[in-house]
Amino acid sequence: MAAAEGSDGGKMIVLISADGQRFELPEAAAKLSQIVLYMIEDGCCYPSIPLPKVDGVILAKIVEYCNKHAALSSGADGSSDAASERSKERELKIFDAEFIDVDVTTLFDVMMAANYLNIKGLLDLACQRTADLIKGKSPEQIRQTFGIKNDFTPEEEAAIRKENAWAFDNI
Amino acid sequence: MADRNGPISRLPEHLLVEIFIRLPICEWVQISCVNKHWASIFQGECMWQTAIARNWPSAGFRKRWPGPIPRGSARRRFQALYVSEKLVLSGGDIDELVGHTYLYLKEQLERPTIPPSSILHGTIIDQFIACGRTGEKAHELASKIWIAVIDNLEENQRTFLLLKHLAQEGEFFLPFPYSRSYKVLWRVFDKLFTDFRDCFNRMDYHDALAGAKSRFQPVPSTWLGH
Repeated sequence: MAAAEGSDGGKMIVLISADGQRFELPEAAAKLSQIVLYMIEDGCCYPSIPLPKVDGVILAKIVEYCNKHAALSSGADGSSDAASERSKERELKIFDAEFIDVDVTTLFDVMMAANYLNIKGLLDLACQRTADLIKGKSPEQIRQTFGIKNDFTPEEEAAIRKENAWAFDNI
Repeated sequence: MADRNGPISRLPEHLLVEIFIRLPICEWVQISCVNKHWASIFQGECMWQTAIARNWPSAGFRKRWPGPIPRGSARRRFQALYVSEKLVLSGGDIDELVGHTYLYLKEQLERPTIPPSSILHGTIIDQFIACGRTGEKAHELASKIWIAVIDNLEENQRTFLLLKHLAQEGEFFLPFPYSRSYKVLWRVFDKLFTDFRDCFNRMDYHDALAGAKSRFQPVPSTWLGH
């Protein structure tokens, strides 16, 4: 039986990445993934959960995110006064901002992994970060940011622009 | 693997949609011009259904309505909700129908041959009454929609001819609420004599001014070119 116990007495879950790396994390952290949560509920999480769609580098990031969020989620340490709640929220915000400040390749890998593992908070974070990278840019600047090739003729681009210009009605 | 279109091309469509709906609506026109794939997302239903659910969660459950003006695709519904929100500051429930009526009227006025405005106005009134509005409310909303549409027509020769046509249309003496709104007619003249003043030749200008004077006395000095 591999139901190891962590230092705080909680159960530990082992995740295995596509390239065979092992990651051990508390059950509370692992449960942030809806997919892993279902597997734990169905009892098919022992001795480990293989995640063939996520490689080790990205899974390490995901585990880091889940650990931090589980540790700082409300009531994790039994305290529940408003001041400590607020300071935890602030700490998570700072953590999130630093966590997601990565190159676009990693950003999209994290987003796809969060989507596959169904971790809503992390998916929101990655989508919002991408939106912030797009915000305020012209189509050409967006193409440059993400290395996208323009496959429009000028006429086609003008037609698409016209088709989507309704939001500029000055109502 | 090197992606020809960068790492973002690996994202499935529903994740691109999740990203796009987090951007301000006024930036969507820029995003739609990035490449053909992104443009196609703005032509599909998924984008608009997701955007409606995010912006107006309660609108998704609304049933279809009776009356001549249809509801249409998710994309059209999104546009209608967007217009409704800006046009009627109700603070609570958005009246989606207002936006659909706006889109309907704008399309009709952009057609090569325009039906008489009394028919368009009557259709709008019928639509609001069919959906349970009183005659007064229907008339008030219709006036508001007419003015919003007139204010959003492109400033070109075609619009000038349209406004001139609306100004010269004969009066049919229809009972309230089917009678045309004087507020709307005022706006038609106002636009003609200010924004489109240079489009007139002398004869037309004096004809239009005579028409204005027969309805509105005294006319504002700006209409006289002062």
